Amino acid sequence: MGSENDRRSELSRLAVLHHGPLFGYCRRRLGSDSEADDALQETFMRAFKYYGSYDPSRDARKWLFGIAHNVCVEIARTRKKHTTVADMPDPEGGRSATEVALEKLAHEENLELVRRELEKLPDRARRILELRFFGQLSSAEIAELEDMKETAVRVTVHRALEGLRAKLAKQE
Amino acid sequence: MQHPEEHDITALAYDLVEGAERESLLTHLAECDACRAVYDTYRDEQASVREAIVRDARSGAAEAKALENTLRMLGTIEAETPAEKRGRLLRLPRWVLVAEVAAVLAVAVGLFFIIKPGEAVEDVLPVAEADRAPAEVQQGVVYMRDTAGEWKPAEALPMDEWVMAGDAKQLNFTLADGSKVQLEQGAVFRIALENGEAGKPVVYMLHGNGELDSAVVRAGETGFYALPGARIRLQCESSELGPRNLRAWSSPRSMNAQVLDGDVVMKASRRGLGYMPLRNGEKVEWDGENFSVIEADGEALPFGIQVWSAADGALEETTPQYEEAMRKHFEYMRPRIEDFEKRMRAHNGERMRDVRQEMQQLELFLRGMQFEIEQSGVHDVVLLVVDGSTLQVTTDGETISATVQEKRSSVTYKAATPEDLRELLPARFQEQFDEIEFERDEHGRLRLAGSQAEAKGSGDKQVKVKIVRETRSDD
Repeated sequence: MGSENDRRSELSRLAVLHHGPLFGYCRRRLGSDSEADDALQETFMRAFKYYGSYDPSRDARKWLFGIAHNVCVEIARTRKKHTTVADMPDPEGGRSATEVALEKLAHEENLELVRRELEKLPDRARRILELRFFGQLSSAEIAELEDMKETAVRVTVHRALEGLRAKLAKQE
Repeated sequence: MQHPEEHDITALAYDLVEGAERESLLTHLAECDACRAVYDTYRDEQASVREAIVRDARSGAAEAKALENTLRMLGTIEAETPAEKRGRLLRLPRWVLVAEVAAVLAVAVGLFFIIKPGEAVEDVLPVAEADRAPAEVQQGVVYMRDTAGEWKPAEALPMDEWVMAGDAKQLNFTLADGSKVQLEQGAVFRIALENGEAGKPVVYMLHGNGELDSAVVRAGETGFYALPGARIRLQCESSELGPRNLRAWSSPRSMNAQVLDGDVVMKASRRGLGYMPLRNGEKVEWDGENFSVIEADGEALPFGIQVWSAADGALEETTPQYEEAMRKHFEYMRPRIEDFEKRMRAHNGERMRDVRQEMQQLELFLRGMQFEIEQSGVHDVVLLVVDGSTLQVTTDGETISATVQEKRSSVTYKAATPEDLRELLPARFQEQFDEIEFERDEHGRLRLAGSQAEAKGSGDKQVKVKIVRETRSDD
């Protein structure tokens, strides 16, 4: 499928287009910029290697998210310890008193509650939500990646969110 | 009536459902109040969950660095990758990889050249049906890059691809949701689907000028939701869209946006920033670091009002003009919040509760700034704006300070007398500085001459503020 340079060119183009959501997904999965950086490179290295099996009529974003998903699963499995976003340092440390005060506003509190509850979700349910938000994948596509039935994807998300809903309802 | 399973409503609210099933569920919701109420709740929840998941994981600088590393890697990788190389990134320390690829940059960065339209117009690049954006072009030509990076006319407007408005006429097109877009020649943009909003097309502006009606448009860290009937004008600049500046391919270097008609909501994606309702006539500027309101009600403000960086304690935010602009925001928005919320939700499902909270934040900004000025010990403030640079002069009674604020730098000069300070200032500010009159009060403290400044506060906390209208050397 094309020359080596064509392959480089096409994948570089895809990297420019899709690196943001792919990086966000990897960072969310792995918990740090440096590991997300590595995972992104690994994703495109594999994409380069298996480019011959890529069907250009398919959505490139979905193809790349499939690879990134596998890369993240392997990295997480290798180190056995899953670091979540909640463990990450605040990238905007040293904020002023005014900003700290603003953080106490209802929106931030609500968001913090959602964050805390999300961290309590089973990893698979979190992964499904992350694939949805970063990769814009449908339940059918996620089912394929997770080796589940499509209905099981929906039921997993629905049940996982019931706890969150109860907390939000209580807050309101 | 057969109701859908609740997990299917959850899936619909989270955009996990596509095609005929999605249509069928939406049809049911249109007829069933009970299911629609459940859906509305889940949809609100989805916006919170999405924000909680996505917001902290996105970082422009880290993404740009990762992209550069990936492009370097793609420039060095061999076609026949040895099997043992598979997974090496999972095992090798980062420094090994960095050392391995550090010397090679040229191939990857050479992929994205811009050649002005007109240099190679004989070929028309095909765009497969599946790759076409949901848009109908009414006027003008779209250019896209071929595999060699050359701009060539395209058969149709493609999806998820940076393209350029091409020939002498402006490019006019209508998106599937009815949004109308007019872009001037040379504008670089792309059409993509809103994250989490399957089927909702968004215009990403990178460079050039354009007007958009009832559209969702993004420019770098800023998103604008032009509500139905609203029109917004964008001017974006990405001066180095060349092979050596790949970062420029993600967001403009600077951006101006002006609301021409109707109501627009601005949403900054940077962490900690919320929604900002914009009124008709308001103009905002992003200079790569800060957002500023630079025009309101069709009139240029005497200087940039810092909207977002109040926490920095910049005293220019405490000017009467700023407070007046914010007051107008409140007066305009308070009776309209409910209406904004309803229309925004109908438009794209965004959580307009954030707009309400943004109003609270702005009010806190004002209160916080008043506190800061009272605690600062600064007695008087003078602001001059010359050729876009700001000179802020303050006195604490004992010394005079002058801070020259350029686009990306700030230098402060201090002296005991106005005469000494004048000698320290850059020449272009000296003439304007001469117009400021100082005097000693009954305690011997250095103050602005009373007649030329407005007083704020009272007693010992009184601060005089003088605003000098913007001047430009070419006026």
